[in-house]
Amino acid sequence: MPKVLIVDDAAFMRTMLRKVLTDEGFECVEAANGHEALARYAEGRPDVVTLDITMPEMDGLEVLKALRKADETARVVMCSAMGQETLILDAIRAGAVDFIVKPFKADRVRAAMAKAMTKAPV
Amino acid sequence: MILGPSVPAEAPTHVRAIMFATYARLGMLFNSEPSFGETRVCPALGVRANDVVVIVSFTGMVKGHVLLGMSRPTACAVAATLLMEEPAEFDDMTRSAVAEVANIVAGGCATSLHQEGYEAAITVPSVITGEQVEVSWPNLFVIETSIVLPAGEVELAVGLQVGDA
Repeated sequence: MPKVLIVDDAAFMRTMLRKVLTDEGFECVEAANGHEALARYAEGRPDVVTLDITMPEMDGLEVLKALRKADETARVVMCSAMGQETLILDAIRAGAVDFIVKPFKADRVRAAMAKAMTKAPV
Repeated sequence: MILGPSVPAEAPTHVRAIMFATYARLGMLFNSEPSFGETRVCPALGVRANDVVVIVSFTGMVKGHVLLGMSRPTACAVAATLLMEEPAEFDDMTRSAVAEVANIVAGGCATSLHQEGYEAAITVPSVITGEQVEVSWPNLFVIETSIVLPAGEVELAVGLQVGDA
């Protein structure tokens, strides 16, 4: 069973993503902030990470860069309420596989996960 | 009530962008077009914001706040609608759900502001609970309106100041 790490400071959003991803056959692990995300990633090496941007302590772009520095094969899908082109480009340049703008439809999440799962490790 | 936001003629471009972004994001979130009440310009007045208040702030070229206010039953209904569950008691999941609604609205506003040439980032939401909470933003251009969602009626207030980055 593929494993996904859901990183979002909002318990509600983690629950929404967990519902979609569990139905898709993913084992879900959650983290509520960037530091917890880095620890969970190191512990379990999930196949994919979904990553919010606006979070306290470390924002999502900082977490993305730290994850990719620790593991350049990390497959990360950003999931943010902000959808500015510059932000999306920054995330893609930093190694994100895809960028979902909230609110999301389940089909958009499925498509992003399929894209991430088929992406060959760098 | 009318479909879509009614924006006063004197409202600046960035306020107009915010109102239409709010309309679009809430429509996507609830899969239903929200109805907006009359939009009021209320500089320096306190915003009566009901019992549950969520505030997300902007930083950058546009400084200010977006506020969503609602009753506790409406907050519970918002959470239940989005989670597709039966309404439960007002709890941490309810707080998280209404905070995320405000986050999504503010994120849409920041995106629209970017398209208008104003760079803005958003803060994490603050959730305040009380009885008929009032919030004041002196020195900001403040507009407020009511919005009818499938889960109930919410108050929207936006207070902004456009400055340098």
